[in-house]
Amino acid sequence: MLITAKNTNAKAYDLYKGISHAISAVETVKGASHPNALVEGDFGPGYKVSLTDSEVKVTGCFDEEWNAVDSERADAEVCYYVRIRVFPSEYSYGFAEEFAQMYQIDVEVTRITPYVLEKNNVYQVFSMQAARCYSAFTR
Amino acid sequence: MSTRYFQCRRLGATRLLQGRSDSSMRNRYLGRFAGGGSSVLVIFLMLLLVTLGVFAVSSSTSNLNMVTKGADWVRDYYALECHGEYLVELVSRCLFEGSARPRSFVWEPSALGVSFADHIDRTLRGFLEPSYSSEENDTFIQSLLVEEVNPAKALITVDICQKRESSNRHLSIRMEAGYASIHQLDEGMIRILEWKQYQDPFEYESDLDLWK
Repeated sequence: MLITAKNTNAKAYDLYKGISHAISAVETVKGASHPNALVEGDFGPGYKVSLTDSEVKVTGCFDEEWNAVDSERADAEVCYYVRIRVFPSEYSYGFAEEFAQMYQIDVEVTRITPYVLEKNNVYQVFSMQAARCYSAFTR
Repeated sequence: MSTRYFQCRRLGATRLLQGRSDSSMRNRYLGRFAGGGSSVLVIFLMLLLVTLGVFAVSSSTSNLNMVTKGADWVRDYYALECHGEYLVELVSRCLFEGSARPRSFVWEPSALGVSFADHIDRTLRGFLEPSYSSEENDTFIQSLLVEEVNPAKALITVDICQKRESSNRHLSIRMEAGYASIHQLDEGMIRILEWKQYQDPFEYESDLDLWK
């Protein structure tokens, strides 16, 4: 019973932290002039940005105490991943890509270490979707 | 007298340690723990632990429920924001049509004498009403008003409503869209004047009588 209480408390705290990171990431993406202009410095420590043709992927790595971790280090003990995908929305009206383009922002926060006495290796802490229209007309 | 008393006590303690004391002597030294007292203590401790455990589980569950509600609130907030962004895309489309490729079936101010406000009003209603007008939908357009500032500029006021059990949530947007003048259609612009979310005030149940 006490372990259940401890795990539930840990999940509540993880959800709180996950929401904070997700909101911060979404607002960072929405604040950019264009998704392709996003760089690692925009998101803070622990985040890596990778660009493909039409998609931007941002991945943040954190340890058990939610401290930023460099995932490329061999001794990195990653516990939480914050993954952000920014891609052209399929629900866009798609009239004039050169002037205005809707982008969908998907955020997923996962924990890869099981909680005490639990077996699930991957636990989805939080996920959400947002959208942003990057318009050349907006002032 | 006192020396005799201490001698007796020492003798009794020695007997107890050596295991040679009789039952009456044992009872005298074990006191209330004789006859299941320790079991009562263990049961009491277990009850205490169970009670504390129940409190801990209850508290942590409430904590998780509260944060989960916050998470749902954040998801709803950004879902409503998406509709506002689609509106910006639609207005951008109108501006694009006027500036980049004016055709006979879209806005041609010089030929048709139609103001930009009329054109944008028709376009927005054409796209928004089929998908948003029905109040059966979770999210719908509560009001849409397009006012003419001048022939090349319009003031758009939209209220998008998101139905929720507790109280409806609204996204109120006011934006100015248009061109510098009717002769400068290559300089389109959208100026967001207001972009705010608010909730309907809560309605308390009048039937609930606390004093009965």
